Amino acid sequence: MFQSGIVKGCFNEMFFEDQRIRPCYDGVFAHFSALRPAALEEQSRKARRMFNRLGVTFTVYQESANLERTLPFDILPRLIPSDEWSLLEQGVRQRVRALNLFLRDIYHEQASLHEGIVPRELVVTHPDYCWAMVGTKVPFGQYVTLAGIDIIRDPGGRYLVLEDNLRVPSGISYIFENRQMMQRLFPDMCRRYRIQPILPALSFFARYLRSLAPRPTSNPTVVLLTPGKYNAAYYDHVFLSQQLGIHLVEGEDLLTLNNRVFMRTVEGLQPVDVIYRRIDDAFLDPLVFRSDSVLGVPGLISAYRAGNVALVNAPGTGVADDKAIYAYVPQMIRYYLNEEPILQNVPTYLLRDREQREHVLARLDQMVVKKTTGAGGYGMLIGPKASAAEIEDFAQAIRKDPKAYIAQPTISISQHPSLVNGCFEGRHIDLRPFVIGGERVIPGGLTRVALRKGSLVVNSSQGGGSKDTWVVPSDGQKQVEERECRIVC
Amino acid sequence: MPDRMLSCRHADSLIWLSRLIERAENNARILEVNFIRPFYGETASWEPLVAITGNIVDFRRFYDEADAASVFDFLAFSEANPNSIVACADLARENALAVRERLPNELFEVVNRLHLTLRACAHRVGEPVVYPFLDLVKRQSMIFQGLVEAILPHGEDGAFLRIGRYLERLDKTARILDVVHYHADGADEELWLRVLASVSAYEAYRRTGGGRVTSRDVTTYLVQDGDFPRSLAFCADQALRAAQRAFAGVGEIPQSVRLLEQLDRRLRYSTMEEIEAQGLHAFLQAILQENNRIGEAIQRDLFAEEASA
Repeated sequence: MFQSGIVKGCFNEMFFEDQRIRPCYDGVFAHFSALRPAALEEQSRKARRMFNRLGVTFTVYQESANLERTLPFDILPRLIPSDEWSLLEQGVRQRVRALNLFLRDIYHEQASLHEGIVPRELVVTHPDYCWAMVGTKVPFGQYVTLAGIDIIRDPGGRYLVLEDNLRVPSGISYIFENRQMMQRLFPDMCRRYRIQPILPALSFFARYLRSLAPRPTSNPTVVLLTPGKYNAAYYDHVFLSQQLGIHLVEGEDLLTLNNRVFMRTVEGLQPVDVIYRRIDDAFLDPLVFRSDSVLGVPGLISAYRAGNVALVNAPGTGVADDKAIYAYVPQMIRYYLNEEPILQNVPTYLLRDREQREHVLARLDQMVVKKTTGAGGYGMLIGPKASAAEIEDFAQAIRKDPKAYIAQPTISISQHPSLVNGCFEGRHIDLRPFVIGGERVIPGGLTRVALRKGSLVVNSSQGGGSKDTWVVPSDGQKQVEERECRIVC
Repeated sequence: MPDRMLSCRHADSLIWLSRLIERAENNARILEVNFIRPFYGETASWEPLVAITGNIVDFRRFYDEADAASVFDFLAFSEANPNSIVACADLARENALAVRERLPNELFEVVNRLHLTLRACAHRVGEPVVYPFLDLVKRQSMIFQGLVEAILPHGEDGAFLRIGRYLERLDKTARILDVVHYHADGADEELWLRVLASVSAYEAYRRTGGGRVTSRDVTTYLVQDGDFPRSLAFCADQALRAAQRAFAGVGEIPQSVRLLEQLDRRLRYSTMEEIEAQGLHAFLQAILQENNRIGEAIQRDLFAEEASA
């Protein structure tokens, strides 16, 4: 069942280099080895059918129509031993805390810019630097209420941060849907593991959002502002509003009066205290940002600046998840927290720097080049897989606008066995843990799988899938003991 | 309860969600009666079926002749007919998506499944599977209604769903009566049995009607009976109650509730003699118009600026 195909020079999550199984995977390996290919495929189909029926889908845009797809689900779970996890958890929390302080700083004193920790022009000329946020007091200083930090593992098994997502990170619903699906498909196996529960993090999130209400009230109104049912992440929005017990609203449901935000309800206007917005900055308020936006609420920013409503995440956080600013996060951690970074960055070349640029241009075929403002796996160059023509195109683009690009050495990210035609074969994966309020991390997070053989791109828009991610006790043996079913999530 | 405040957009979607599910079910009933039980004697007249769903003009634009195949296609699958079963299921799902976070997952699943199944089989329905197809639509609608009663909190959300359901049902029963009276000579017992069947009133009527199946008896039953859940009087009463609950938190009584009160009174207190004196067609047309006005008034109550300010 398990194709031993361990790729040299690439960390395998399930097997040691000598093909032995990593201890925490014992139970999973035993369970799946006992199933025939046809049975495995059947479970996989069952998952797809169920996701479809439940409407757990995302929308892909194609030329003529919006198509609804289920996110491909890989039935083999990824296991993270709890000692590794606690390091990861501390690492991403530390990172988000520093980024939050950085955001506070660049919109107020700008101490880090004065001291040259981060180059000033990189920040203030950034397209996402939000002038409306300069000097604006943000409720409780919380800029980044929800962050998704993309993590990869290098060939040595080291966890590295690949990217910070601080605007409107999506995918959180899949963590919970994947867990539920695993428990439906393989109840016995799930019961035998002591998997860290994930639902309590949602309750924390719900309480946290309520705690951000600027008005002293015991029963604040929290809403999730969505672009609507045709948005690719609409299911994420539905899931969160259901789980957090908050209202799902569109721009037209809200209005502002005297710098206060109200929701149009059957009973008349009701004041709104906290807006968890899932639309981009540019569409939030046509009076301040794009005037053609019909998704937002006129007057919203004014009400926000007056301190009458909390916006989550704050506008203008996009500066800090820029791929060039990313290179400075370790310095930020030292500067703001006076700590050493727990998680390392992937080495990053800033192409605005002539020396680094020449270094990169000389070996583009070994590099990954990304647009600093890009997302979703679009518009990037993967040197080792690119044709000479593509490399030449990118070289020209870089020379033309060097500060729009960064480059990183191609890292062979870790692999995990995934079900392909009834057998398990190695596929590259990453991990997106979600950090709530810089304090709480959902145990595990979203593991994304590049389902195409050899592909390094895990984005769902590029044919990626996902798998359930368990945080389990570090010593493999003890968890397999038969114990009472205590899994809450 | 401030916790579950209902936005006006959501209220509107709830009404349409249940309205469209009800419409799909009614279409399925009407088709079922006419397909499964072929007409006795002379050839069937299919056009009235199209008239009941209200868009004979659309029909004529796409089909030369009204026969079993064309009418079935039009009422069940046609993209050109906004009221075809498939179109209703699609649109119902759109509305369910818009209010999805307020619906229990099981409820959404029913709507989603109806949409997916109909989409998957729409091209493949031939003569032999007509009955299972129509049965599926009816059954999913019933599961939907059952879940609304059984697991949805009976607050505002439920009230708006009920408004949609009863306004739609009232409309269909009234249309059926009107069309049949318009097309039929009135004395055909077989025809009136068919009318009863198309609103699933056959057994219920048998128990109360005592064996007399005349135009007048059946009409009286379907207009005035207070207990039968598809009669005009019953639907108006339920719609009124639902609207009173739905708008309970609103300061002054909204226009839509006032109109519903009038409709309810009219159905409750008119005698058959009075109705016949003005002509059944005129009476039913007036009811249908009033029903439309109520629908429009609800829109105004929900979305007019002065209502929210």
